[in-house]
Amino acid sequence: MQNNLKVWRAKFSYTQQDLADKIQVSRQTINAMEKGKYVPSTVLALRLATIFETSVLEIFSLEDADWG
Amino acid sequence: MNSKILFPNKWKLPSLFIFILCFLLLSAEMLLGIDLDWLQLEVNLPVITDNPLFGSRQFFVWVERDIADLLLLSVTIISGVIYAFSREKQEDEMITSIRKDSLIWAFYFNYAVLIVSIFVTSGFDLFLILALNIVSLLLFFIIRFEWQKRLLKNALHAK
Repeated sequence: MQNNLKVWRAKFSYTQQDLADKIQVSRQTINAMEKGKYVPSTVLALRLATIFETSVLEIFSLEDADWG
Repeated sequence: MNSKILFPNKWKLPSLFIFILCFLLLSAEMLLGIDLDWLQLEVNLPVITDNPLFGSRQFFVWVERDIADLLLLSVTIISGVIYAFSREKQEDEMITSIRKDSLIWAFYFNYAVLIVSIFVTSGFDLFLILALNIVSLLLFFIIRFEWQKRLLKNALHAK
């Protein structure tokens, strides 16, 4: 799964720590998500979308490999 | 992992200290032959079965036992479990995921090591391996979990 979390974070001028505090996770989790090493749960994806006032599909998108 | 079934974070450090101390004592006892007989903690305890070296198996009897070893093993296991399953300072869903992965990995690795060990050891050493197996699952889990957490921390600093 791809994401443009970094772009959205820059748009809102949030540091990784700012975003981590807002969605109640560690900075490591934000870093791992941005690097594509961790795929968040639906709840976390929705929290991110709420913080960025957008929809989940604007932040995350499926790749061919995600279809098995 | 539901954080409600984890221990409080403040228990983590004290339990680690107790676990290391007990584990070293247990290892010294098993590998170096140091015993705790001098404590003279022999008490009569009720047991479900007793199968002495000389004699036949008996059920529901009182047996005089040295409880020093039993206490040491119990404290080692309890402190190890508390350390392994204490909440992190920030127990978020990624830590939960790493915790679950580490648990599965430790389970596989532990039994793989056990299967290999029962073929390549015999006699008293086989008994030693089986005894070590009491805490090896915990140890493998702790090592894997801490290692993964360290990788995450390093990835943050490598930015």
